[in-house]
Amino acid sequence: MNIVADFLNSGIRLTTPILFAAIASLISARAGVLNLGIESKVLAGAFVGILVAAATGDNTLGVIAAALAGALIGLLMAAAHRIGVDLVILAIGLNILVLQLTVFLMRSYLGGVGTYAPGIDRIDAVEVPFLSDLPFASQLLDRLNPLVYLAFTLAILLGMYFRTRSGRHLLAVGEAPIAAAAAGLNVGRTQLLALVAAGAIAGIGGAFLSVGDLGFFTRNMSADRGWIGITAALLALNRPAFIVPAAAVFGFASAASIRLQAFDVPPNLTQFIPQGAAFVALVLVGLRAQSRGNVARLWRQSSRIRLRPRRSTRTSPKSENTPT
Amino acid sequence: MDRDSIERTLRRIGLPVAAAVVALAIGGVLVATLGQSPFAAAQTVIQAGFSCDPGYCNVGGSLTLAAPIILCALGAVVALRTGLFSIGQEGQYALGGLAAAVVGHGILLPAGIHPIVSLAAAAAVGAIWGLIPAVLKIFLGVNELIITIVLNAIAGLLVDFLVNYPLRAEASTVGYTHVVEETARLPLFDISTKFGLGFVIAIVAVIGVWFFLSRTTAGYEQRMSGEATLFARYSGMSSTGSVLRAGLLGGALAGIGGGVQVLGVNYRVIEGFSDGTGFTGLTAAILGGTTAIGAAIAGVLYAGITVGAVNGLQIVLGVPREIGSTVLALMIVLIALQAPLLTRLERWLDRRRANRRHDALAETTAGKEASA
Repeated sequence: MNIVADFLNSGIRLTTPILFAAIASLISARAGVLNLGIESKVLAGAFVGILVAAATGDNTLGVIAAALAGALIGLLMAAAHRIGVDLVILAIGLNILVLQLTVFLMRSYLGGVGTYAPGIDRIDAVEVPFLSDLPFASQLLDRLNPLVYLAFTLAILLGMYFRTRSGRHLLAVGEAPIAAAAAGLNVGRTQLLALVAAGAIAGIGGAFLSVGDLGFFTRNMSADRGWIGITAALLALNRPAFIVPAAAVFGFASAASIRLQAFDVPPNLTQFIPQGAAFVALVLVGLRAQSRGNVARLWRQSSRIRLRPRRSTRTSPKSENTPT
Repeated sequence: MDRDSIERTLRRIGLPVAAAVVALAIGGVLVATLGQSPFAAAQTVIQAGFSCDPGYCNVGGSLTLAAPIILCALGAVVALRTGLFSIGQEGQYALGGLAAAVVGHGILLPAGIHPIVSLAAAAAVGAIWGLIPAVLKIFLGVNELIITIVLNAIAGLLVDFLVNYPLRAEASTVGYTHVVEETARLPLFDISTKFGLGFVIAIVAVIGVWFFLSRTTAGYEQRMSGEATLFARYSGMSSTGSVLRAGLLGGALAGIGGGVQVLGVNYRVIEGFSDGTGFTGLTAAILGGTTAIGAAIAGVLYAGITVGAVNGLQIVLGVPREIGSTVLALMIVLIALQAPLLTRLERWLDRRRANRRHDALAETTAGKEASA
């Protein structure tokens, strides 16, 4: 038993769902939408994924269904954003709704109180032709299924996408929606597509948890991974280049906490490191924004909760960050 | 009240109520698919959540559960109305509860003073945690909404760590602190449901927050710096001071919420104390239209439906208790969805009325010209 290979392996497997969630958060944030509903999309993906996989006996269909479930929530959020719904409140509501509804449905129809185990096979690990025979590498690549590789590929593809024409348009819509609209870009459609894509990616992240890695579904299976993904995207300063290391900091911190329990080190002590790093990163971004004008505009723009004007609706100025 | 304002009030109450009714209807359909009558289910929820027998008073249990939710909701109301969009009530609640448990166990004081000192500690710790996003927002321009997500996670981790290691009472699978001293506990009116002074504190806080925001100069400045930032600035109010006050006060209220839960119900902090009460409070504040009174009503409703779903539906009818929270979450989603529709409807009505007045005016002037 090679400890190093084992540690790396569990770190990669713990990083994968966080990476999916972080990519989803990054796409939404760069399109100018603060998407706090990632948690609900991950959980919905995990639930729908295993249901479809169990019903059809085909794990691939399960993953596709999970992506569709996440995309559907993304579509709902995009439609709500279009008519000016406060996305922060909607997202918090959706998170609670999916958490409670999945448990309700599981207890009502699937007979499980806390766990639903339909007895499906996990998605098979990828056999890398030459490496899988080597002692160290085989242990490293153990239980790494195609979804793991998909997550890391997506991170690279995202970095490339932001250099394409339509990627630049997405960034422009996020940074300055009014200018983008004036330049002839369709702000609403861009944000809609971004939210749908983010939902699908988060949904696949959920499918990785249920269909991909464990083969069963438990109550609150996402266990804050959506929120951690959002924090990881923040730690990466919403840049594709930093997204893999940022997600890995969280994933390997939990892998380390499992290891270190053997030495009586408090399990959640290691979790402070990534969370603290995210806090410091946010403060530093604030400092830099202070000295360099409006770098943090991107983050601020999307997150104004618009409380309903209380006295008169006639005099209320139209909020400038809801392009119509 | 003239006709217009009555109509407007009806619209503003009617649409959210309609959204809530739709949520209840969806919940009813879900119950019906399990072969239970939705009306019987509703009756059971109301009975189990809000009824009171001499033997066991259900409404007491609901109000006990409502107290920390209301206090967290008040914290959210104060912050949101001032324009500090903090969702950090969860972390403030958790740390406030821990502070109350530490002071309640570690210091020996006479009965009357001990709970006050413990709650003061909870308020102080909550206020400090609430001040962090306010300071970062004002002096560094950090987005308070995003930083409170991280602060919630850190607070949850901190509580779980402290409960498991430095403050752990005894060796067991789940970490928990020592039980607070008898002197620190809040007096109970009903032992079986633990209904006691906690709810009274919540109600006093509701009245206090309402009075502060609606009837005092400082509260007016708070609201104006949130609702009309430029007006507040031009008329010489300090929006910096208002936001800092909102952070302190909102944090203190949510911290007291944690303190009330520990000193009135749990008597200790168990691992996983940060269980979403702060988030529930935040949503109750939003459902209540970010007013103190509305938040209190929404908080009681929340607690009642939760208790009713657990004690009524699950135990009596065998319907999983999650249906209660599902319906509540549906209410949040649907009420969030109707808000912009209401604004649009009102704008349309206003425009129509303005057009009609304009036409009427044009007709009278045209008539005068014709007669002249």
